[in-house]
Amino acid sequence: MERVSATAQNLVLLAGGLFFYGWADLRFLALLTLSAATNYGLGLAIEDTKSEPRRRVWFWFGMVFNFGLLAYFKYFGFFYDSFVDLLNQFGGHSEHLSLKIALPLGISFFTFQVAGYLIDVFNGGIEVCRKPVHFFTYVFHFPKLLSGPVERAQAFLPRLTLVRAFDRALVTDGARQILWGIFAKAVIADNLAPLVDRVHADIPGSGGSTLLLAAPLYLIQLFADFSGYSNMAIGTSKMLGIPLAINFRGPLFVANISEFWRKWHISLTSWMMDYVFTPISFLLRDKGRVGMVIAIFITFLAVGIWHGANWTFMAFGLVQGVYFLPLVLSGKVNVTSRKDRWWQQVPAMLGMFVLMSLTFVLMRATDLSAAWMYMQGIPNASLFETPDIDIWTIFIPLFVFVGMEWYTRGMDHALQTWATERHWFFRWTSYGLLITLILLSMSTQEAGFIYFQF
Amino acid sequence: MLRFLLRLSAFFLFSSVVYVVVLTFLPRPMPYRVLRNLNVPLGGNGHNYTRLQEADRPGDPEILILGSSSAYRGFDPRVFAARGYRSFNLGSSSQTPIQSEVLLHRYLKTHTPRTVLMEVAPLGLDLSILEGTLDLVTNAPVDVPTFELVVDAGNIRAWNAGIHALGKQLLWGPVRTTEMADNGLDRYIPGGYVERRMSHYSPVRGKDEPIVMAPEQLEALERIKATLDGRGIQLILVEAPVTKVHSSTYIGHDRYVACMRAIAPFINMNGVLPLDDSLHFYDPFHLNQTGVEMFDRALLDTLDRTGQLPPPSLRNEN
Repeated sequence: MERVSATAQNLVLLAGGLFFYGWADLRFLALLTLSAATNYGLGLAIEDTKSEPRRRVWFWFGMVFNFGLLAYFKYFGFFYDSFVDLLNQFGGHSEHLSLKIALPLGISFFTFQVAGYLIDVFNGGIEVCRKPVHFFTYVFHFPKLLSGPVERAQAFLPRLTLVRAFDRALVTDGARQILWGIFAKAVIADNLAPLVDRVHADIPGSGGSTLLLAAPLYLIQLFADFSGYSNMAIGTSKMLGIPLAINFRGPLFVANISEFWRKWHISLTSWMMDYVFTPISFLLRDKGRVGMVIAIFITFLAVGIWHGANWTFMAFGLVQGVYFLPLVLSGKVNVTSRKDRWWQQVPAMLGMFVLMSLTFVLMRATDLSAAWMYMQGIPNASLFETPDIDIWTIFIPLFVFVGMEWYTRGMDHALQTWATERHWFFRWTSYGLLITLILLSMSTQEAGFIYFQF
Repeated sequence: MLRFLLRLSAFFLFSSVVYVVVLTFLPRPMPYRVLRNLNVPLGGNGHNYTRLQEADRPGDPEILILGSSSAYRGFDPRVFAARGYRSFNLGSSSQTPIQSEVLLHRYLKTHTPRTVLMEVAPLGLDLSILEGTLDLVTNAPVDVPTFELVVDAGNIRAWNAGIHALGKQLLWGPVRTTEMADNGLDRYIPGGYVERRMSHYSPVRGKDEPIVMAPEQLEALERIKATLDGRGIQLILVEAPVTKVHSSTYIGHDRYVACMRAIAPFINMNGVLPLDDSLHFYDPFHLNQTGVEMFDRALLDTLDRTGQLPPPSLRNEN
């Protein structure tokens, strides 16, 4: 039997990616294609140019081009309007932008991937990709195109040079991961969304206990929504023979902030660590802990801004930086909890869960004043009333979700090793029960993915 | 690869069996709200279980009433009886012509009414058949036509309710229970009527709503008419009163009236009675008891005047 070449396989994937993006947002397909072509050419230019100054020119042109596009589409309106607000406070009479700039789907994920590629080529971290089909397949690989994971070229491109054959173990694991992703998204996230939305739509009218309960529910919603998407994306790619980077690894059960960011949106955090934190802390290496503090604040400010053009995201990033201060000052940033038994870590985990639940209010609030109003609304007499959130409709699936996430918190996904060593009847029955629970509890309302907006 | 696909097919078959077994053995009624896609309580919102049980019992009402909640909350058999008519109200929540057809066929197997009054709500002719199907499949014995409704609804809630009910029926027979006739808010009146203990309403105007008449619903109406014609039973379509505020939101009412008239004799009782939105309704669609009695008497007057009703059996017996 004649074997198919890797290039032919990649062409099929590329066609699928282009179709997928065009179907989701046809307006910007040409823009992303042009951007991908520019980055492909820039990679070659950086690699093939002998003169170091010229290499730098090409590199910085690439950075300005990529982040300029991102800045224009994602941040221009926000900074323009904020500038106008500032001017008007000093007696100016300027007007806000009357025309809102449409945001190309997935541009943040897209930009970080191609920028990371150029940085790696410039630093000699990877070989330049000379095959346009491979490069375009990397950029337009449809499972990760709209909401990540932020896939590194150094891990992804080598896989495209290999002919991929049907791998039963990989396909089965991919299918299990997709199943868990559907459960997280369709049952947990989409059922929690209306409960949380209702509270945020009427913060002044919600009692303290309601606001307090809605905060962890939003953290779980966001986790289920994004990890659900990630699991579906990674599982789909796995079935196509291309494993992607893991994005979450039990972030709800962590004992300190450093651990949280090693387990939450891992592909973005590791990108920020490698391309923002490490260069800055290297640059400030003479400044000791102060340099590290500055590097951490800049990194998390970037993490915040990456999420969108809103002061709430910036505040979110800065607050994360503040949380890191005790670890930095005590020199324990990279220390994992040494307590052997899980129950010894439970108090710290609960504390972190509450802290992150309250902090993620910043991610959900429409603006800083809404977030402040939310926080102010918690400590009052209504804190001891019954929360006005009908949690019972989602209680059983939520119990299963949190329980499984806890039980498998070190794994790539909750079903990775679930019952794989058991008799097929037990294994299939447990998957069948999960499918049944999905059918009995999934939301029937249409709901988008939260991270599409980022 | 082929082996994998065979195993995958076997897994889907196995999972389907797990799904059916779990649904069959889940308790009925499910604790309220615990599973959001299987939360239709027995009886629904309008004592449908009791109504369907009563419909199966022998009797010979000359007037059968079909339609949505506006039917079972708007056509009081006591008012009909006062005029000498035996009537039975086979309305059910969100019942559309597609579901009326299923109920009618079942009813005609054991009963021979002489007239069918069918309440047709202008906004009840689109293809939203989910709620009505859930009410039927939960409370009526599941047969082939009912299961076809489940398939047509094309919604996971309908599938869950259908398989839940069918599984139980196959193992333990049709559900047998006793529904409370009076739940504090509603009271079931023999003859299929439900009386609501609310007397006042503060009307609020909603947004304008175009009247959508799905071809499938109109075809069901045509088939109902043909079935009844074949048996010599008269079909009269009735538009029941709603609040003025609500009826003012209708867009395309004239087209709806013309369409109904083309199918069968049609009586529009909406806007012809001196009903007050606050004093005679308890919500935008439903009359309170005072309003019901005014409406029913006026309807019977109209039917009498136009000679569309058979001679009353109760008056003859007396």
